[in-house]
Amino acid sequence: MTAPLERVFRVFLDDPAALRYGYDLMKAAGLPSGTLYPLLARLQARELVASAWETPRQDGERPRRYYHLTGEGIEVARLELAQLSARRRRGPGRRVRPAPADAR
Amino acid sequence: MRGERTALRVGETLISLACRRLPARIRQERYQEWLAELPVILRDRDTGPAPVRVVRMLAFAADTLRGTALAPDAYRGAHRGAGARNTAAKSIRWLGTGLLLLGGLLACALFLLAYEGCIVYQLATGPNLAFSVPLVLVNLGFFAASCTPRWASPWLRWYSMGKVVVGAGLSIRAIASLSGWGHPLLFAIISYCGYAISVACLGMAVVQAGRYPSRPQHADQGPGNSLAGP
Repeated sequence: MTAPLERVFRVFLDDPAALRYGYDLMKAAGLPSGTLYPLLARLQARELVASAWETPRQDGERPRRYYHLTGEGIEVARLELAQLSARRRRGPGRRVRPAPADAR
Repeated sequence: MRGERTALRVGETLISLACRRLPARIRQERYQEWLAELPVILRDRDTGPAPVRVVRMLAFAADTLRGTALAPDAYRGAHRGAGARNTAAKSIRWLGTGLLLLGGLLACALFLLAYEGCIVYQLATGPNLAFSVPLVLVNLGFFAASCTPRWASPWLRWYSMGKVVVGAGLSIRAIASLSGWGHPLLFAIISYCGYAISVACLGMAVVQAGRYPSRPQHADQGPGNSLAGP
């Protein structure tokens, strides 16, 4: 999992029911738009994230698009983050190395 | 407000360029999505003062363009892989473009500084017709441009007028000192006043830049509402 993806998952999982606009996600995840939107597009293609258009609140105001994790997206995000945390807990020093040939 | 509309127009152009790289079926909806974010960023007071918000809005648009240039496959529903092979080369090209733009901006700033420095030097040491006459002519051109509806701007008008006064004062002072006519101090005072006017106009421009998108734009004004696509 890439660092931007991790950040986006964390932001979504802070409140899975919340609807997030692209700009809000940018601010919360600390990612630039050129990184965030392709990432969201990939997640949408995998059906982990869904989007919808809001109804404009004022006349003439442009409708904005918001994003939220799908049910599958929530599961995948939790799983991926849990696996990442587990890997981090193990740390790089405890990585399992293949045994040398003469030890067998 | 005028400045806000201009900034939004620049942002719109960048978004429009970004959308040209997308597949036709999603182009319009992405254009609408990103365009809707521009006025939101411009009015997001949490970000900081107005100039910071403008920079942030333009950075949003420019980075969106970078995103569509570097990762067009993401919008076609493909995963990272084959399409990302050229990403490094593209990134270098983008970095080069960015550095070039930064260099251009720096060069403009240095030029402006050198220009003002030359005027101050002329004011302090004594006039030179080879400098003051072009100064008058160039700024008369700017002044004429600022009177046209396309470039109408009160601060540009006053700034160029101030520089015309400086140049005229310096020219007359040079001619007077050559011919021994009039009192050079009078023309020196005129050119100092002209310079003071132009500096005040620059100051006003900075203050205006600091204030401008602070007032919310009316919904039915400006390009933020145009329905034209990319």
